[in-house]
Amino acid sequence: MKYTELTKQFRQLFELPLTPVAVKFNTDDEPNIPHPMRYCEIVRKAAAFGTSYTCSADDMSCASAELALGFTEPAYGDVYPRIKTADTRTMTITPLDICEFEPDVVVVVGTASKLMRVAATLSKVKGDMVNAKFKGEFAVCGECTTIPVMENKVNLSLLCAGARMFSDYRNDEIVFGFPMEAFVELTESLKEESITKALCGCLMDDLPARLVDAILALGFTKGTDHFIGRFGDEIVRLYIPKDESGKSSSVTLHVPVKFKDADASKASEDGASCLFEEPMNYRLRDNWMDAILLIELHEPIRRAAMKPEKFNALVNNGIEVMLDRVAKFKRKTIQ
Amino acid sequence: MQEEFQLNLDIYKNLNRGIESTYINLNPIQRGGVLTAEARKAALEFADGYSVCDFCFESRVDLVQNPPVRNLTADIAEFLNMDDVRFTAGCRHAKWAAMHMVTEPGETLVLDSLAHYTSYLAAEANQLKVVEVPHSGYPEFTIDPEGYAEKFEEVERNTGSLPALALLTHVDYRYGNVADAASVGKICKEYGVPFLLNTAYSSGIMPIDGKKLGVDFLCASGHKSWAASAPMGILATTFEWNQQVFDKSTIRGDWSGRGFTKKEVALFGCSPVFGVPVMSLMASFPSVVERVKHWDEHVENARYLASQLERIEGFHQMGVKPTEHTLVAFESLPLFEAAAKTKKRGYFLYHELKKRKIIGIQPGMSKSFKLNTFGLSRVQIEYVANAFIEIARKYDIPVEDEA
Repeated sequence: MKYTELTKQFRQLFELPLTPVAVKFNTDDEPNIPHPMRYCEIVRKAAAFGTSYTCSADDMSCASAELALGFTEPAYGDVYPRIKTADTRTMTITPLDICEFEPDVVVVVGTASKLMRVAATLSKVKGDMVNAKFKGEFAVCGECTTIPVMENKVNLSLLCAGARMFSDYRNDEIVFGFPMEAFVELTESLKEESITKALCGCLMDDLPARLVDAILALGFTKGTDHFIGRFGDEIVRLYIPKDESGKSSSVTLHVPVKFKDADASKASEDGASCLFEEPMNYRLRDNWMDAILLIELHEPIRRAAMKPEKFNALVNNGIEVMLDRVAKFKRKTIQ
Repeated sequence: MQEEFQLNLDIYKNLNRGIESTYINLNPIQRGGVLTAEARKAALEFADGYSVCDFCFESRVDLVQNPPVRNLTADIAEFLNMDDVRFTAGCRHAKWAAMHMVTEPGETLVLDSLAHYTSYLAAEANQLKVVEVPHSGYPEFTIDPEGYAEKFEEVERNTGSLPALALLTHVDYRYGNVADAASVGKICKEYGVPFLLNTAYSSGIMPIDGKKLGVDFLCASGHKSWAASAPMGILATTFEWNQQVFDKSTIRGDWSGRGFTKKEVALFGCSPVFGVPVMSLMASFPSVVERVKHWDEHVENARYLASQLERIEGFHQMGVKPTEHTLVAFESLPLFEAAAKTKKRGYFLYHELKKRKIIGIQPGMSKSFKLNTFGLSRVQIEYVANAFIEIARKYDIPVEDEA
């Protein structure tokens, strides 16, 4: 089957119990509907039971779908959304995994929590918000089939009363409609490391992405618990301490200076106490002297990092001070 | 007729690890779980399912006398200076079981902020709230025992009652710091909060005295630190708690009237039902008893390696210095910078080490990594140190002359 793997990949990642449904207008297949049905009912049956249907206007039991899907032109006024010009003769609706043709649209039925994950991934792939146009009428037919075809856009629908009352959609289900190309793009992007990477799934901190980006932009790279970067002749570590209640409003910069042994590092303490005065500090660790500079941000770090000029100036200035003092310390003690 | 499966079964043939026995393995979670020769022999002997149960007369594997599982249970309790022991499906199961039997959903667990993820998950599975004792931050990441007293009081202020349990990770998996368990144990006694000590990286490789540490529940990992096959855990407790923790089943079938009064609820009745893990634990036990006496030598080896690696520019051991454990974490920014210039990117370190028959550093890691030297000889450690220095020189990273 042409789309078996694609469907499997999509369902696995989003843990969707129902199969995405492929829809094609005007196929060569013969209508095979046992009795007239609603279009949305056909879609859900295909998704849940793996059945395939080809239908014509005569097989439609819902006038709204007939209009929206372009089987007939509206007699009075206009209808939105609808297939223009109304030249639909037949439609084939089949589970995507057994689909042999190139679909026009893929309809995905799922719970709000599952489709929220689809939306989050979609927005990452597109780098933009997911725009949804819906009004609770003409839902599966118009909002999730016609709009993707006519406007070449992914669309989300909260469904309509018909779908919920007559077509077995559960109260917690909603529907996404994808132009085929967009569905393929989304599913193939799931292979991209940037979207799916997670070595162990453990979050080692709760730093927001914006803050991490702000620190990386200063020339650091992120470690597990702290940031590390090369500045001048030194490797500087940046750590974000938290107070007792878990709040952060400062950063500390660290430069460990190595001595030949613990005695030598202890002997350098006098020099350290002169050079590393408030807001600097130092700590002996065996044969190392860890120089520390505390940079008070006077506001939560998340907010501070949103003012790049001030934040960068504070940290860069801190790095400069740190490099200067460490160089002096090394001149005094090591050289 | 049943549909034919489309399974590729060839991938399950000729299974091998792809690592020769001559390789030096530095994997931080694997060193203490390397089987002894006796354990390998026992593993083959008892590889069949339920083969430990040939002479089971008591309906519980921990009571089987041939092979001597019952003796092992008592001996391990004595070795840890605890009163009673059961085997579990890993340290995580031991934690879950202790929490399950002594706490109620909605109560609070105070734990260290370096705890293993399974401590959090065990709490979650038992519907406990967690309150963390902060660590000291970069570069030492230590846990101050006084933090437990502060958090106990905070929990009491906020909830009206003391936490139901305190958990301390004796040796954390990230920096290999050895926490001051005795002080935490003392604080727990003062407040009357039961104390669970996670010894996944300590018991079995270093001496542990549960009573001296003031421990109420001690959990251990057979496959991490007792030279046993996975999955194997140990849950030890004191007589004060053993009736509650190892509580027996009281359930009855409403129609059949069946009951299982010998089976212990939190251990799923007969734990562990597995053969190889418990037999490998048993076979390794004499070596384990002996090896903990040489802990200082193992730590000295780890310190030596740290001092050698720190000759490489930008290498810096994190955590307490000098290290008090064989699990050691390093920063290594120059390797990360070198990785950017290689085709294999961050994986170059893994490949360079593997070429030198050294494995166990997480593939892809280069700016920081962890290793464990437990059980390696000084000669092997010198070989590892030289390999790192050789790799550094190959990528033009300065290396200090030996002092």
